[in-house]
Amino acid sequence: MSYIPGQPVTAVVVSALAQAPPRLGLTPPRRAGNGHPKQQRVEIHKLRQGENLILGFSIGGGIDQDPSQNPFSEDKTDKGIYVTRVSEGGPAEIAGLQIGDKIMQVNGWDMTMVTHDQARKRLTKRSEEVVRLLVTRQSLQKAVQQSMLS
Amino acid sequence: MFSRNHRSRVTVARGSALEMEFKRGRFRLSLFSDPPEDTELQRKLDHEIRMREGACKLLAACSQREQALEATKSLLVCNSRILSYMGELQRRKEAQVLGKTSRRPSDSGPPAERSPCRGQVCISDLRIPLMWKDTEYFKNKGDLHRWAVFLLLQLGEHIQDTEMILVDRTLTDISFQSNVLFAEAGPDFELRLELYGACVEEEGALTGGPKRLATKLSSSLGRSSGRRVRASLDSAGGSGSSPILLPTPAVGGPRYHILAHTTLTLAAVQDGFRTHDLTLASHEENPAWLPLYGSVCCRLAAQPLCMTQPTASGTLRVQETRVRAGELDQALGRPFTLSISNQYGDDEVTHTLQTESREALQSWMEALWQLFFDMSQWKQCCDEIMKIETPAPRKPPQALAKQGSLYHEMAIEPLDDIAAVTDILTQREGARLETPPPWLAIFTDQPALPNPCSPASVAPALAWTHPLPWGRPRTFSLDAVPPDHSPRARSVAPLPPQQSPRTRGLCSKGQPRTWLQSPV
Repeated sequence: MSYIPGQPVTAVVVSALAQAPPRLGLTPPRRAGNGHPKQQRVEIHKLRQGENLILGFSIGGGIDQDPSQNPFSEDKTDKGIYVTRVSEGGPAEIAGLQIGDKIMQVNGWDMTMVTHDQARKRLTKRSEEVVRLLVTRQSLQKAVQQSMLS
Repeated sequence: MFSRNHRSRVTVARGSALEMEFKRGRFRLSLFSDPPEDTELQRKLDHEIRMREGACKLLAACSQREQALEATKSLLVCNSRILSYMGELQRRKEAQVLGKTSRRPSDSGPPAERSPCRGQVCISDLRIPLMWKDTEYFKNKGDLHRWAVFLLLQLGEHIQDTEMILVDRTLTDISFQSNVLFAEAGPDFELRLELYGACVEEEGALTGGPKRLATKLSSSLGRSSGRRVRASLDSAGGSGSSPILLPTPAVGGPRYHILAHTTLTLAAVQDGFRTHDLTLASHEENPAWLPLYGSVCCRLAAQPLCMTQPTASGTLRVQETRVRAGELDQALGRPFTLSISNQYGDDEVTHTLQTESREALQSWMEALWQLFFDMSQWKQCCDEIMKIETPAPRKPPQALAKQGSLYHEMAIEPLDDIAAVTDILTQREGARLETPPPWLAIFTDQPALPNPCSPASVAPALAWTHPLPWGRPRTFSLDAVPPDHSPRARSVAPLPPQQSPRTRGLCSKGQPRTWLQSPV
C-alpha cells in the first residue's frame, strides 16, 4: 500500500467503539460501484509568485458565513466552500476548476464543515505544491440560471 | 484529631483551628505514610508552604500599596494551592484505602474499560471587556479610581494565576498577556476561571470626609435590604463551589474580592478566539466592583497526546470509514490482514495491511481502537493539531508606575498643536506607535487651521476609537481575531461585525452577516 506519511488516512466508525474489542470477521474488503456523476477530481499545481504559492482562484463560504448571500449554491442554507472566481490562465483554470464549483475535499481534508479561514488555510499550506480537490459541479445550464437569478 | 487506622474525612473549615495551623505553615501530612507517587505532590505542598512564609514576610515589609497588592496576591495564590494540594492528597489517600484507582470522587459515569489519553490545555489572550458609563469619564477629575485585578485558573488540583493588571476608567478592556498551560488534562476537564479585584487606593480614602459620608448615607442600604443583598451575594458567589481563594488573613492590607467567574470545558475548546459568558459575583456596593460587560474572550486550545505522539500508523482521523480485521478468502492466501476503507463521495477505496501474526494483528487493532476512542472523547481537538506555545517564564512584577489618564496629561496648548499630542503618545509608548494614528489625517490637510475642537471632545474620540498606547489594538468586537500581519493579499479582513459594548441590549452574538471571498 502506498502510504504517504502525514497524509490523513481516514479511519474507524465511532459507533463501533461502544462495543467490546472487535471480533475477527471474514468479510473481504469490497470495492463499491459507480461514482457520483457530478463529482470531479481536480489536481492543481500551485504557481510560485515571489514568496507565495498561488492557485489562481477565490473561495467564498464557510460555516461562519451567511449562506444566503452565496450566488452559486442551489440550497441557500448550504454553508459549503464555493469557487467564486477563477483567474484567467492560472493554475486552477488549467486544471479544469470552474466558477461555481463546490469544494468537498482538499487533499483528503473535508471542506464541507469548515470556517472560511480554515478553508483558506487548507488550500494555502506552504508545504504542499499540489492540491487535489474533490468538487461537485452543477450542469452548465443550471449554473447560468443560478447566477442570473441571484 | 486523627488516629492511625481510622479513616476520617478532613475538611478544613474556614476560621477553624486546622486552618490556622496550616496558615502558620506548621501543618504536614506526615500522619500518613506516603507512597512514591504522592511524594511529588508532597514536595509541591512543602514548596508552597515555604513560598507562603516568604509572601507573609514580604507583605509585612511592604510600604507601598502596590507592593502590598502584589504580595497579597502571591499569598492568596499560595494559600489556595496549599488547600488544593492538601485536598488532592486526601483524596488519593482515601482512594488508596478504599482500594480504587486514584480518581476524584466527583467523577461521574460508570468506570469505562478504556480511559482516554491525557492532553495539554492552554488558555491565552484573555480579554475582559469593560462597560463604563458616560458619566464616569467626567466626574472625579481630580483623582483616578484604580483597581488591581488578576485571574485565577484552576484545572484539577493545579492552580495558576495571571499577572496583576492595574485598571482604570481609561481602559476599555482588561487584557492579560499570560499564556497559561495545564498538562495532564483529561477530555472531561473543568477549567475554572475567577477574576479577583482590589482597590489600589485605600478603601474609603478616595473622596474627602464630608462628601464620603454623604455618599455613604445616600447609597447605604437599609438593614433588611442589606441583609438580603449579602445573602444573595454569598449564595451567588458560592453556587455549590466556594471560590478558590481563602479570605485574606492580614488586617489593614489590601482585600481582593471575587468579581466574576466561569467554568470552561471541552465544548469551549477551539483553535481560535471565542467569547464566553462570565457569571458576575460582586455587587455595585462592593468597593472593588468593576463595570464588567459580562464576557471573557480567549483562545482555549487543547492538544491531546494522541495527536502529538506518533502512533504505530501515524495520525488518523475519524470519518466515514470502517476498519476491519479479516482473514481474506483462502484463495487470496493473505492471512492476518487489516483493511481500511475510505469513502470518497460514493467511491470506496480500500487499503489492506498485512501483519506477521495473529498477535501482531491483535495489538495493531488494539492500538487503533484506543486511538479512535481517544478521538471520540477529545472530539474537535482531533480535527487539526492546535498550536500551543510554551509559556515564557513570567517576568517579576516591575515597579508599578502610576498610570495617569491621558486626559490629564494632554494639556494641548495651543489647541491646534497636533505635534504635542503625538509627542505625548510617542513618549508614553515609545516605538510602539509606528504609524501615525488615522485620526491625524483629519488635520494633515489643513495644518494651519486652528482646531475648533476642545480637548474634552477630542480625548474621548481618542480613547474609544484608537487606544493604541494601551497595548495591542483593541476592538469592540468580542470575537475579534488579532490582526494578521502575514503578507497575503486579502480582499476583506475576516472579522465578525464590530459592536460597541454599550449596545449590549442590541447585540446578537449568533448570525453571521458576511459572505467573504478570499483569493488563494
